[in-house]
Amino acid sequence: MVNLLQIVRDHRVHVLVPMGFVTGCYSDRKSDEQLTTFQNKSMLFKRELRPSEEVTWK
Amino acid sequence: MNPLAQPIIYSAVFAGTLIAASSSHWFLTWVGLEMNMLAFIPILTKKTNPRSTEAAIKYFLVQATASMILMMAILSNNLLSGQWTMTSTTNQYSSLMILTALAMKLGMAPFHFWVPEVTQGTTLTSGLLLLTWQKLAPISIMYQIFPVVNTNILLTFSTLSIMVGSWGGLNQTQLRKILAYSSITHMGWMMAILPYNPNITIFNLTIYIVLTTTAFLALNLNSSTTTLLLSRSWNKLTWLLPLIPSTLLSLGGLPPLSGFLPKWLVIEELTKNGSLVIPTIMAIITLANLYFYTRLIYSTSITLFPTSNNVKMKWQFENTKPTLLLPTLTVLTTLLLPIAPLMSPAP
Amino acid sequence: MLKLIIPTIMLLPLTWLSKKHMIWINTTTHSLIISPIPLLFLSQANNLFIHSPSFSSDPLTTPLLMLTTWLLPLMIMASQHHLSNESLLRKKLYLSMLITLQVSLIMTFTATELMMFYILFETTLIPTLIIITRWGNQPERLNAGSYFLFYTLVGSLPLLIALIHTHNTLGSLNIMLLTLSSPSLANSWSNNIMWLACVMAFMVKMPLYGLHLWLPKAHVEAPIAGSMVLAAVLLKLGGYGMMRLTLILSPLTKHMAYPFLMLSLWGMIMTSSICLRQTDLKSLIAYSSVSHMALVIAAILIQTPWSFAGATILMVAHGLTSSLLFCLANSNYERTHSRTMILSRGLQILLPLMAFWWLTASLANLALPPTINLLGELFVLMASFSWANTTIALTGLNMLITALYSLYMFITTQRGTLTHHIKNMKPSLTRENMLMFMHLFPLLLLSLNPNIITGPTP
Repeated sequence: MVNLLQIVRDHRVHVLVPMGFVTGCYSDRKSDEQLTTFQNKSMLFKRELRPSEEVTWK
Repeated sequence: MNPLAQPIIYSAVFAGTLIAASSSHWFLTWVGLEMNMLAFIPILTKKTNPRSTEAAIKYFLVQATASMILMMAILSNNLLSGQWTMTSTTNQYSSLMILTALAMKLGMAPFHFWVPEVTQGTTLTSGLLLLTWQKLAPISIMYQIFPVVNTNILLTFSTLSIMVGSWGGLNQTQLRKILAYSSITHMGWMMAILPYNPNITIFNLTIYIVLTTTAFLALNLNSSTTTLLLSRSWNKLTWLLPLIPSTLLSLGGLPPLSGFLPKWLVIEELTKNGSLVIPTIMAIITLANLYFYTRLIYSTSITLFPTSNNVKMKWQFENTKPTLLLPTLTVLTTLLLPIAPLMSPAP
Repeated sequence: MLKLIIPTIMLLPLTWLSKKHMIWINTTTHSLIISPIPLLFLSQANNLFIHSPSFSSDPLTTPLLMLTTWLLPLMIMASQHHLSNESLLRKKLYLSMLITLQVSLIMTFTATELMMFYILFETTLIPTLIIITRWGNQPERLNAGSYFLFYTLVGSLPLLIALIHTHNTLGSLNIMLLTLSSPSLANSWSNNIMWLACVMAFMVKMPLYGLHLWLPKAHVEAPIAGSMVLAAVLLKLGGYGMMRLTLILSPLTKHMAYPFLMLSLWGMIMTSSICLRQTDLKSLIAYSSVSHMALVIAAILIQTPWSFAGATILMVAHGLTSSLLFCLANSNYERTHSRTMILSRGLQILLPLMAFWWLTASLANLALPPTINLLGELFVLMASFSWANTTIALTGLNMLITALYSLYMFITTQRGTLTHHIKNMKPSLTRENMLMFMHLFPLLLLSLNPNIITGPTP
């Protein structure tokens, strides 16, 4: 148990960059969704999601 | 200074500035300026030595001359228009005289010769007051009378100030003189924008005060007054080494730092008013400023000067001076640009 | 785009929180983890708004982003020996400077707004200046740093004024909007001056022959990572900016380009001839950079789809090749403590594997087939040939001289008799071999599918 804690303490820095990547992906997704809602407000560019598409932006 | 006299003198300096800044009557403004100037002389001679006496006398002579010119302008304006109100300075000759007087008080070229001399003669803290607080009263008067000021002459003064401030500092190793020349340059930037958008002048002044205060406080920690002394701060205050470059680069106006912000706004406003050549010249000449700052940076934190052994013992002495303001100010000097939209007034 | 920027920023706390013996390993590994992220941006249309309104990428940006992120682990690997005698704090500071530079470079390439681009373009100066002047080897580095800073600043201030003026007249500085709406500029003196103001900043950065004096100084004096990032990425900022801005200033480029085309074609010959008489290894590589970038300038100014594709490929190829050459030069420097070529001759006998890397690097530099250098040069040569037949004399001559100085460099350092003073030279490390391999690997691999680095047009 103590060993495990020690390992965690030694290697906790390795979390930072993957965490940054996950946060980045998350906020990118958020911004895509926001832009999609923005786009859907326009009558001209409004469209339905195609199959295998997450957001209409892009 | 006598501890009893100190509060009286400081309150007179501050009251003088406030009176000059808040009054709309020319005579009262003049009184405020005079009060401020007279009370500032003991602050200049806080450490009594021949240099500070000389500085105080130089300061007194220049400021008194400026005050007399201002008085004459006020009186002639009163004779011609019968008005004491600041905003109704209609006569162009009296407004020209007022401009001259205020340029003298602000230390703008071609009336700049006293600034480096006086700053060099005093202590760092008095120099800080001289280069920041003492600019407030004249600039607030300028702010009030800007519609009647002759734009061509003001632009000439400011371009000249930028040139003088940039070229004057190139030959200096004395830090206070370098900062004085940098103040002349910044005055040039502030006054160049005054006829077009006085709010930017005030914004520019605020940023300038923050930057200069940081620079002076950082130098004051180690009592560095020359480049050589500054180069020895590595074994006294190591944490100062990254701070001084960022402050100086910000003073030089390098983009991601907050010193770039006023320059950007000034250029934006000048180009909006159709002048493209003047901002280009101003920006390029200010690079000479950046050049002497980089020289300071090189000697402070980039290179290690050869030193004798007893200099290296300095690290044993603890720093006793307060550093309370420095962290906040350093953050302000470097990181204001990204949050610039927050500082704009509501549309 | 945040999925690239945030992890790169997270490298900073990683550096500062890592344990003493782990900082090199941690930063190298994690920057290597970051380096494939730009590959995610590859599959997309020619649309700069695709990711977000403020930071985005298009097929021109993505190859440069790939180059930038790939270079960071290589820079960290390359500077390990240079910093081995420094204290932990300084190592961390150095790494932080490299990472800050990386962050600002990524943001510069991806900015969709020209003012943002300008500010970030200048931001890259500060970490580079500190890397050059703080960690360079000789006192001349201060001079080199000033040259670097002030050449770039004097060049780019007119750009600032021009950008602000454009912003005041058109109301927007969005790259995509400006490119698409492209107000047809009349051929007047003021517009011509504006063209000059916009392009001169990048001409200095590239650098154009005549404005290049800062580059050899900066390269020679910078520490290895500084040289690598200067050659590989910072010069590409110039090419990138020119490709963006000349499109916006479109009808003017047609006639304004002539003097600069002439200067770059002529400067190409001149700088490669200068290479032939260099004794200083790093200086030779620096001048060869100038000569290659002249080809890129010519390609960008010709303004055809082929030339743009050629310019993009050449930028990526040159980034990897010159960085590789600087690494090789540095591995010599770390052993002989001299940049003079004649003092480190005959190394083939001592370090045969290094000799292999030298050979491949020289061959890549002179654009031998399986590398993307050939592809880029071929595109540029063909584009310039169809622009004016006579250019083949200059470009062909330049190919010849490039081959000559690459051979000169190779023969002087690798062949000949071994001098006595380097007989007790340390063998090459696995780290160094890995470093060279990681430079060559994308150079060769990209030639299998050069589609992804051909830029915006095809």
